[in-house]
Amino acid sequence: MFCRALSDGREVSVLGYGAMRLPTVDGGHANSWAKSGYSESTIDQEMLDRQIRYLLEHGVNYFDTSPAYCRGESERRLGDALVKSGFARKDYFVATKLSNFAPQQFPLDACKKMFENSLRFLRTDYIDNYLLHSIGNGGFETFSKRYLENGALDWCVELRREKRIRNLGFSFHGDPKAFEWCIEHHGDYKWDFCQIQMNYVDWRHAKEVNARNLDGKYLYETLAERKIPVVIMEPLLGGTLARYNEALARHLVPLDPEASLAKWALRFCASFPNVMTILSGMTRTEHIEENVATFEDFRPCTEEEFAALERAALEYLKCGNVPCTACSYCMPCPYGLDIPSLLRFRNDVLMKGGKDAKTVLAEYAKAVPEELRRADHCTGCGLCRPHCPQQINIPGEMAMIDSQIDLLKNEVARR
Amino acid sequence: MLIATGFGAVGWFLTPYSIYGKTLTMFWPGVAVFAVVVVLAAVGKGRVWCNWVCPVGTLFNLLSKKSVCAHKIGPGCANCRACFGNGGKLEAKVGDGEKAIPLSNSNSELQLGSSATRREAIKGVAVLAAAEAVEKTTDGGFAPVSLPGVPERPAPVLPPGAVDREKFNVKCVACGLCIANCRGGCLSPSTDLKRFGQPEMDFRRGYCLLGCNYACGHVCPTMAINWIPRLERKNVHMGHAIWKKDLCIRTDGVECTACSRKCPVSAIHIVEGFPVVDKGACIGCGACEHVCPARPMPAIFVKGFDRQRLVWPMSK
Repeated sequence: MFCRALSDGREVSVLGYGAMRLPTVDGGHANSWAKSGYSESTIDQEMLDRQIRYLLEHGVNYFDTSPAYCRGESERRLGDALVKSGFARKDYFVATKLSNFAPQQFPLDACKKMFENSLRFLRTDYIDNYLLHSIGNGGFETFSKRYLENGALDWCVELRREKRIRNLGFSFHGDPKAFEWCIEHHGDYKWDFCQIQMNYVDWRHAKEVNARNLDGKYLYETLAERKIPVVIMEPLLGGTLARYNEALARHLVPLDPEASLAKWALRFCASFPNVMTILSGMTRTEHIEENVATFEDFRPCTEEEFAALERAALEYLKCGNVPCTACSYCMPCPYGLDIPSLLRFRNDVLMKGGKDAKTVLAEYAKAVPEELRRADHCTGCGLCRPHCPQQINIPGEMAMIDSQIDLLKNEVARR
Repeated sequence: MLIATGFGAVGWFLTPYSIYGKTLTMFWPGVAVFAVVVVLAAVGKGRVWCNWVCPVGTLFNLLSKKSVCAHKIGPGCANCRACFGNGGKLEAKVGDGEKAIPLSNSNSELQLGSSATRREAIKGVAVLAAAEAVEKTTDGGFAPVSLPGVPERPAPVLPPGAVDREKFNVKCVACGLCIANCRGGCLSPSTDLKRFGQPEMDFRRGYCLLGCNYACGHVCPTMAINWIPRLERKNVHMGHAIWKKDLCIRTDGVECTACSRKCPVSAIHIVEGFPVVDKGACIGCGACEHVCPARPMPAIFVKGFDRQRLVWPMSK
């Protein structure tokens, strides 16, 4: 397994496991119930145990979770699986977050309780990497309320001094001001690592996807300059860069016809020396096997390959896809909409073209089986918008999907 | 040649002479041939037997013209037309010494307004649950959804082209063809005993599509629903939307523009935070009712016209 040494001499695997999309008994992932008819589907603990053991045996030793993931189940399930694996606590790194998203979680007491719960669920007495979760979401004011005004950040520094957390960092999405504030105050807080979104599309073109985004290149270089190790999230954009896409394949396949698109995306991220770990939310065993194989005989991208990836990224942007990673932070929608499935349908079917109206409508019914969860029931209330790490204009997209579907329905009815 | 052969064969089968003998020899083959013809026709064209051969519907239709218990206009009629409801352009003519009767169905509307107290009892069932879900602490998951109830319409909404409700009720034989062919998925059989099985709009599952080429009128075998090819769909006004303040979730302080966003003819405007229906533009398609998030009853619903308004476009 391809590893990088930390400042304290421990080695961390470059492939990390993200526990946001744990496997469920019906074969889906736990942040989405769409395939199980919207009934609550339980996490497949047996499968998870097996997968975690496989990962540890193959040298993957970084596990990232959060109190918010999988409707609050992720920490407990991951903790169980890690303990059951039989590996010693010092053999692996556990990262979890201070995910105080709701206003009732802002006070310091609530934060402390969240930390104690994390320890209890993960069955440990210290956390290796503790993160301020998604600092830019909801704007700088929310950041200030969540971590500065309530003293949570100072308390985290205190925890690090007590060795209850080993490393302190933050994950960043959203408002650039929050990121810049953290970088400015690096001298005060001494960030041990930082978690950013990076992949070969966001590397130079994040601003083209959304004007308020920061390019991965800028984030990475800012951090590398200050020698802050980087943890990468969304290397595959929630699986979007791993699924077949003609624009990507045309540029990448000729260079290495056997490599999967996922391998390309992971290799791109791992080629940068300041990257500590790349997190991948591997729901299925085949994902794990494939990614482990990628890092077992890893070689960095050459200049020629970087150029090909850049060409692929440019071509990919022309598809006009919304950058939804199906993280489900927007969910639950109070009106019951299945936002991630709708956005995936928008990208994969509606905007792709090449299908007649009837087929598209059939695909729509398949993508979102319940009528009441389809795009026309969006009221435009906008409650989902501040939660989206990709800053997608969800109500606008819903209106767009619905108007397109209406056009198709009318087209069919006119016959 | 083929046609002649076919006629000959049918004629031979139908000829009255020695029909007894033919029945004896040809009964089962005859039944088989007939069954095959009916099945093939059904595969090709739908309910051919019910609509074109079976005389029951037509018979009822004829009988209803000489109905014993039908309403009749007596000699004291002042021609006020109140009994027709608000018949589009019909003018009220009130006879001397008679009490004026309001033309619209405002009576039943008033009744519906009073049902708002029911809202008090069930207030917050759906919407407050939704508001709680907003204060989320974890990601993922789905809020529960439920179909809205059927509002107590002052008058049912009929398919476009049904024009006059009285005439429609007489002509329609409740064959269900229009319901099966509805492209918007909004026609459903009525459960009212006075018009049992006849189509009426139920906007819970869909709404009348603006681009539809009157599929219901196309298939109607009794001309109860007229097919109006020269009129665009938006020129047939089936009813208009009525908004109820007490039921609307905006009164609970929730931001919502669902009806205005969905309206295909832009007849709903949000003015100072409240939806206002432009009744001149509203065609009663039910899109707003379909998407209204208020539960258990939609806060905006369509009231059907007694006589649909046909807005003839300027001739070209």
